[in-house]
Amino acid sequence: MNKRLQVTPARCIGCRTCEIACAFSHPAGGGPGPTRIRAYPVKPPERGVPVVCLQCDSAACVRVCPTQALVRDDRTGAILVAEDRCILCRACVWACPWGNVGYDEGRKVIHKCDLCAGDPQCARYCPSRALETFE
Amino acid sequence: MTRALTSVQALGAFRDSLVARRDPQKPAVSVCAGTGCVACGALKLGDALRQEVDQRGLGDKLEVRINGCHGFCERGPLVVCHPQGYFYQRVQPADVADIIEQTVLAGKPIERLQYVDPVAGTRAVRQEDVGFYKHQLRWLLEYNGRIDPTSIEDYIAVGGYRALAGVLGGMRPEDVIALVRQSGLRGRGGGGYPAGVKWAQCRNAPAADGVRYIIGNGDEGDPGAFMDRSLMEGNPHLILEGMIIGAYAIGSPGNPVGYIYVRNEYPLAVERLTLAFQQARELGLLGRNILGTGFDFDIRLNRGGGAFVCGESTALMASIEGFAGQPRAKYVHTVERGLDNKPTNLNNVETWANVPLIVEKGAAAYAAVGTGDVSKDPWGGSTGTKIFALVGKVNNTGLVEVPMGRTLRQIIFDIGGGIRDGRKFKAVQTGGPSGGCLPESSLDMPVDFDHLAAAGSMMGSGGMIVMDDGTCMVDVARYFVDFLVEESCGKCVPCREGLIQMSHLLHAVVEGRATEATLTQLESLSEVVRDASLCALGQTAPNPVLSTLLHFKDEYLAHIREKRCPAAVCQALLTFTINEKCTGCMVCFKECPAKAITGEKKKLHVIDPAKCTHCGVCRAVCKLDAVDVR
Amino acid sequence: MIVVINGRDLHARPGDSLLDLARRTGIDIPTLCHHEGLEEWGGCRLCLVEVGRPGGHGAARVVPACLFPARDGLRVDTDTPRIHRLRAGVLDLLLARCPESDTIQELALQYGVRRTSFVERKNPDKCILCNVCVRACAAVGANAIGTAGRGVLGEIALPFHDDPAACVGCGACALSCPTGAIEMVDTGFTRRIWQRDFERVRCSACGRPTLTRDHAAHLAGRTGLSAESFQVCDRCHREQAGARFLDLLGK
Repeated sequence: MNKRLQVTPARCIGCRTCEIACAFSHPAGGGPGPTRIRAYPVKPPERGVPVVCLQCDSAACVRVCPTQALVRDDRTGAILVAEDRCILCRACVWACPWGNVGYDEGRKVIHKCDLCAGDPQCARYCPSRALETFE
Repeated sequence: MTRALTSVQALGAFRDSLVARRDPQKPAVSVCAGTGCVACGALKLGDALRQEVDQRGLGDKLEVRINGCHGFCERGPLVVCHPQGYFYQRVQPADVADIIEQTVLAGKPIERLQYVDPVAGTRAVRQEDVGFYKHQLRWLLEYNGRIDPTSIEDYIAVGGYRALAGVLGGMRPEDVIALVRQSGLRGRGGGGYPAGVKWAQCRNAPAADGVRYIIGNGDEGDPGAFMDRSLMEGNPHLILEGMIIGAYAIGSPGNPVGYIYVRNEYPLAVERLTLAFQQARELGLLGRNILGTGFDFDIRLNRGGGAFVCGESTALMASIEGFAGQPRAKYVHTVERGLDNKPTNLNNVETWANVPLIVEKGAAAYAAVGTGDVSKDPWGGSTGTKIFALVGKVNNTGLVEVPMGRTLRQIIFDIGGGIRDGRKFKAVQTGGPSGGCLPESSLDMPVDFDHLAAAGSMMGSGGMIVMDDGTCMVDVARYFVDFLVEESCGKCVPCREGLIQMSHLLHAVVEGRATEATLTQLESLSEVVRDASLCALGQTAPNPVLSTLLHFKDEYLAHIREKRCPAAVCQALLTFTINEKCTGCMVCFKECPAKAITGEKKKLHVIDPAKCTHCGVCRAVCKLDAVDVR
Repeated sequence: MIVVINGRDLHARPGDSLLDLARRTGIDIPTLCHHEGLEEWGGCRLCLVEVGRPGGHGAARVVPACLFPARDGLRVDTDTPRIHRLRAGVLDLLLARCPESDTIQELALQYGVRRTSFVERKNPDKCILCNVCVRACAAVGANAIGTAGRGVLGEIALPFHDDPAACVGCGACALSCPTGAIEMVDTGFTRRIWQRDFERVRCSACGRPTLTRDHAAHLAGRTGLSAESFQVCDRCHREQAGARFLDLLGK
């Protein structure tokens, strides 16, 4: 069940279903959590651009973290936030050139795409195959 | 200065030449310049002696020696006149002319400067006649009164560095460790860990880059303790020689540098050690290629910043590394990961000073002195001698070196001359501020590592504070806990927060605000501080409280139930009354800051207990002993 | 390597502390000064456990689980009456130090301590001196704060109590403090922390305040990323990323 996430922006219709899928698969405080993916709608025509963590090889967030709280999962290839190692300096938030690391001020946690443990839900619900997974 | 000695044989030849140049019959006046004697004017006395010698043109005939501590601080300044060995005490510059004329020139003793035993009334001619010295076995302190600590030649002339030469000239490191192990030497800093076992662990600890550190702990911080100080000031080369031998035995091919950590409050020790290192380097006894044997080792001196906790080994190492002096938990022992996470062998300076003696005497002769049997188990006994700083309410205060296993009674009464002012012995606290207070029933207990620990106290570094019946044991516990409150580094919660709460509870007792529940709370809190604290400071801090609660509970109860301090010490519980000796002189009337005294001239005065603040001024100013306190 | 915790045989990994092993296997041990991302401190003494010698001989020792290495054959008990008593004692003491701290109140209550049995500190703050902030600051690379004073008079402070020069205003100390003892106030483009007002960068795209100017310079120096990359907030970074993709697609 180890899947690769592929983004094809040309297929995106800007429906933002991915954001909802992400929020609901990362619940926080009893409700949907902050989304880790954004699909920016472009009008007209009805199109969009999905932006999500690229799990960079030499990731700025990993390099800037002083406590090695961002760790690549060997199985899925996702860079994960080890919350218990995080000291909330938020350097990763500012350092990611794509803006793909966020800070939840209310819950005091860093969040980013974790590839849903190998089964990205955004791709599962994407109606236009802008987000796809491959085995 | 002399050229470096490039072989073991060259050291022997150098010693022979030194001895040949010295005339043992040549008159010499030795002045003790230990801290106690210096405080009593020993340096002025030394100057006066030298001046007198110069004025009389006796420079060739007589030598004036300034030594390290002789130990009998109570009677300083001390002087010994050689070759007769006449012993003089409480010598003042005014006595100098007599010493030169009568003793040095005429060879006669001066009676008025001799020590008279306060009990037996006998007169002591020589040092060994004095009860204080007679019952001691001075192995480590032997040369403190005979050599000039600033002269490496003095040290070499009496056999110094012979042990090192023997080791480098013919012993394998493993043999040295075996020797120390067989001697039964245990850590003199208080831990009592067998030195040979520790050395072997350090030697066998894997050292990736070949670096192992050797540290001498001279951060003596116990109130009233000055054993290490006297050794460092009085015979620095003895410690140095021990450390060089240890470095050879433990081995550090990667970085042959050791440290000696001395508190900065000991400027003279810092000065003497620094000079000793320099002299040893010049003679090729320290540094590269020691005595031409290819063995390298050097020592750096590190000054401590006045934190009691830095005597704790891991805090000391943190301090050397440049961090705050806070201990680290040592579940991986420092012999494996200590200073800079490298294998580190730390011993107290007194432990190091024993090493040359063990090499010289042999393990068997060393182990013959002391208690138990260490031939099979290095924990099996306590061997050799131990220096104690005997202070408090004894007649003879000072530094005392005795074989392990002497009883408290022998130390306090035979050597210490008993209790001052004819009062009664009450307790003795051994081992520094976190030692336990032992009562009269413990007096016949042998003093060694295991007996003291079994009695709820400890050897510690060798502090020994004697208390008489005028001492309030609750107040003693309060005093030591307050000391430790100030010295707790604050890293762990039980020590930092527990000690201040113990202090609050003890203050409640001495101020008469406590109930019996206070004692229960004190006991349970003591358990938390003892069991939960990070380092030995916190773990042992409740000792003064627990031992006084065990042996002197009735005193606590008197404070609580009767609101009375049986020793009449705790101010808040004192009652001041004026007795019939009062002549009505009005002095106390005028001095009382609380205006609690009423009375007229030539009439008996009266203290109003409601107004009295227990300050004791009336008692202090009364010349007729007319103020009673109870 | 098998360690027996509360009667269960558990497989330990090399380098595991008892706390690592316990937490991984779902055994609850309370801590205050422990932080996975920081060097171990061993000061709060809440994680005390009893360890016996292999084979069960000799009296059990009380040790902090965070610092004690897992060893083969070790027998560990994390919840004996003695451990309960010691933890309750430590929390009782902490409650006297910080009676107003929710964190301490809640933990203490779990050990049956509702009110401290000791004398409460006068003018208490919420600092328990666990040093998490100091270690976090060191990890960030600023080393702006440390312990001043000793023992019960010790406090977390700036050098000489008043020199915030090394502070970059990142706020990691305040956010990682387990009791919320460090005050950090953001007002518009100003952040006040450690007696100093820091200017926050105005996002060049949306104009909202982001990180402090000092933190941006500190990060640029440490990461080798350009200073400009810290002039844009994370949200605008993302939006710009979207726009760039769009450009690549040729609309």
